[in-house]
Amino acid sequence: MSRKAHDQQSELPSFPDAAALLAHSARERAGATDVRLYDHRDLPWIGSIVDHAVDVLGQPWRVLKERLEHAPIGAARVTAILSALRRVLGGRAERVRIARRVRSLVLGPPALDDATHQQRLAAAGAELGLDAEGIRDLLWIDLANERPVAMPEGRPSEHRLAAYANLDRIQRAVRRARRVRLRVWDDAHDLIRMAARCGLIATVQTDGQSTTIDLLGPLSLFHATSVYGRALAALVPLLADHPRFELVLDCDFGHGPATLRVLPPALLPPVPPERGKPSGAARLTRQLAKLGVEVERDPSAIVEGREVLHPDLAIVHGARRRVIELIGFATAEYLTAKLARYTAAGADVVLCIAEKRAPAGPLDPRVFAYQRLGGACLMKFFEGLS
Amino acid sequence: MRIRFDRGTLVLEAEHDGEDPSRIPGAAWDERTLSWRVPADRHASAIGRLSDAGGRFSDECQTQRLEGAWSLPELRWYQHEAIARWSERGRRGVIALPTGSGKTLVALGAIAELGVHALIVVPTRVLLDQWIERLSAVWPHPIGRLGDGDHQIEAITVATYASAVLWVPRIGDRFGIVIVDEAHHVGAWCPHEIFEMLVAPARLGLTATPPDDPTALVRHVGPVVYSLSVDELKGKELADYQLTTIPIQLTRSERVRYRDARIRFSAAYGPFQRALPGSSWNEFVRAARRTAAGRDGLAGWREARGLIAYPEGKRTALRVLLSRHAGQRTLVFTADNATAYAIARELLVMPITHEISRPERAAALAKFRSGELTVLVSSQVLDEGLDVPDAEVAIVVGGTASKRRHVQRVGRILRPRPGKRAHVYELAVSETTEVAYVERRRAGLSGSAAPIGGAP
Repeated sequence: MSRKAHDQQSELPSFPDAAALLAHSARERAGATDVRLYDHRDLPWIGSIVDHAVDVLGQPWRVLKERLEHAPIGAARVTAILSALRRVLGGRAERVRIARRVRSLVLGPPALDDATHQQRLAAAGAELGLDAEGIRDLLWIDLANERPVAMPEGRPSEHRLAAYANLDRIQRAVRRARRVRLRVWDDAHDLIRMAARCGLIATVQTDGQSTTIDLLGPLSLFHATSVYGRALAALVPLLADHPRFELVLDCDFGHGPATLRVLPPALLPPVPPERGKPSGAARLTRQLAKLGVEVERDPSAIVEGREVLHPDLAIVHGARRRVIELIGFATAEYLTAKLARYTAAGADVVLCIAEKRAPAGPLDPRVFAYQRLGGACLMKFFEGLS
Repeated sequence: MRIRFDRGTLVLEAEHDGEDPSRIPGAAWDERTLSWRVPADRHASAIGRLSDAGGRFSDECQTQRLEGAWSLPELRWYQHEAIARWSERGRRGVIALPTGSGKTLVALGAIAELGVHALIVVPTRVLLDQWIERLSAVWPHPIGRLGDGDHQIEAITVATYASAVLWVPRIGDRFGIVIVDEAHHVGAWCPHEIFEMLVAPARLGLTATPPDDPTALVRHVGPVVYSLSVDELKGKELADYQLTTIPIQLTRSERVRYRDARIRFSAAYGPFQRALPGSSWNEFVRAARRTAAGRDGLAGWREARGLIAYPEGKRTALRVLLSRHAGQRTLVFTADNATAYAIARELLVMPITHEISRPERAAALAKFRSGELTVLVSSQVLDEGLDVPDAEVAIVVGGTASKRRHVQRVGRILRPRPGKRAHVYELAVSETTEVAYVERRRAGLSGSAAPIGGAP
């Protein structure tokens, strides 16, 4: 489809028909609306945005934005791709230092006449070995709209921009979500682990072929809230590793409830490496390995009826394979139910929980309540079990 | 009964026969974790209920006492009064005092009086820095900081709204008091869930401008328990000031362009409003983006706005005013960042925007305090809360109709000093939407405005 034809197709009724337009939007809101992610069909217009960027290389970003205001591409699309372009091109950090130095030399009391203005620029130029024009160019090079468009690593691919724009669009929707249901047809361990790290409560079920994860925060028990949106959005980048998924979001964009659905194929950037402090399971894995214990991180999920259990580790100890799950917070009822599920599935399990997060009273012998979790103390606990 | 804090809620567990968590008001069964929960802010009522029933309970959310000596300056009469009124009202409520009257000191006085661990939530990173600086001067121990990439938790911790949302589920049971700076944002910019997830029974909101709809604020922090207006403190506790509105004429070509842009806007907006009376601006924008006529209308609106943001007349007036007040510390307020940068570029003065990094902003403010910089220009960052002592002149080059924003802006220059008389200038382009904006926002400073008129 030509760009013109595409644009014409996206044209909706003119203003006298605005009521119809809003009614149409309301119908969309009544059921689940599939989010149309950017894909190969969008590469031509994304390419034309990159063409504009190439044309203004070295000029401020605001020039690019002004040019695109007149381009026959919807404002939302332009914003999404420019945001992805900024992300892919980067380069702000290095300019902050330079601009700050120049500003500290140039900015001061108001220069109310041309002579003072030129004198100030010239003085700063002398200090830095530049002419006045050079100083003027450097003064604001760190600001979003003022810094020059640069592509030090060459022209970014349209695919890559579409992927980042898609990620951003899904995350924006998820941040407004009050409830997220995610269905995957492969191993869901990474998603469940991330949900736990973000303080979310995941209910995991399986129909034998796929796993459904229902994600909510504790406060959602009392009322609908989007306060967990940022935590939920942390799961979105992981979807790139799942070829088949269904993401259903219950949102409120200020016009009443809406349900959005995201389905593959989804162009998404590769999953970024884990950042920040290693998780408790990662630390424990390393400590156990150092002790010479045969340890497996993220063993296969254990299915028990419709429930799915995701232990964090499995170790071989005394010729027995035991799975270990780290529990963040639990009541006595919760631990009992969890142990019963593992038992029903025929798994030999140890649940680890911090003493202060564990229920009061005697605990099942398979529950290891620790003050500080470490490989050595866990192995000592195992000795006791044996 | 055992009461434990978990991710912003209280988990209630029966420990003895006959104990029934479901009888605690608001308790709900969480099927996912097999536990009874109530939101953390129900802590006091849950404890009260259990105490009244004579039941045994172990509360693991006990708030800790502050250990250390304060070195607070002497509070002024109204600051004492405000704390007393807040205490009488059960230590829940909002104190509304004008900018520059020492709200921070009121909060510090309240924390010192109560002597419990405190969480202070603030809207911006600039205010985060400012609170920490103020606290460091009067509290001898480390101050916790959540925001702008830092996550340090101490007995007194300051957090941005955004960081508080993320951290309160983990630390919501540690504090006995929560201070909400710029409390009129509660329920909007400041998510009310922060307060639901906090055990803290004592809650103090600070604002210069209580919200028009206080429902969320009253529910989560409390009602306004003490308030004084600018006029009640002007001349004694706040600097006296003169407000002058300067009418600006567009040049002939600017006027033609402005009229043309407004016609294009009206051609789109008028039919939309007639078709859907009462629809919101956002609804218009959404619909307008979908047609060529709508996009042209929006472009016209942007162009008209851009034209009156900083036309030739404002340029001239600004230079005249800066020249008249040369050497005096002056804050220039604009309608948007683009205008702030335009002024900074033309006059080589320092802009303060969200894009200017924290260290550079801090350095600029320090230079402003010392007098090395005499002019700062900003569209929003200087609007609220920022402590800029001894600024004498405010020039409002552009803004919105918001009364609240205007009161906040004017408040920037009202910090008292013997013999100080502050000047506020508003530049308004005649025969444009700006005139109505000026009239609407001046209502926020009722009784204190001088008549419009007079060239600079």
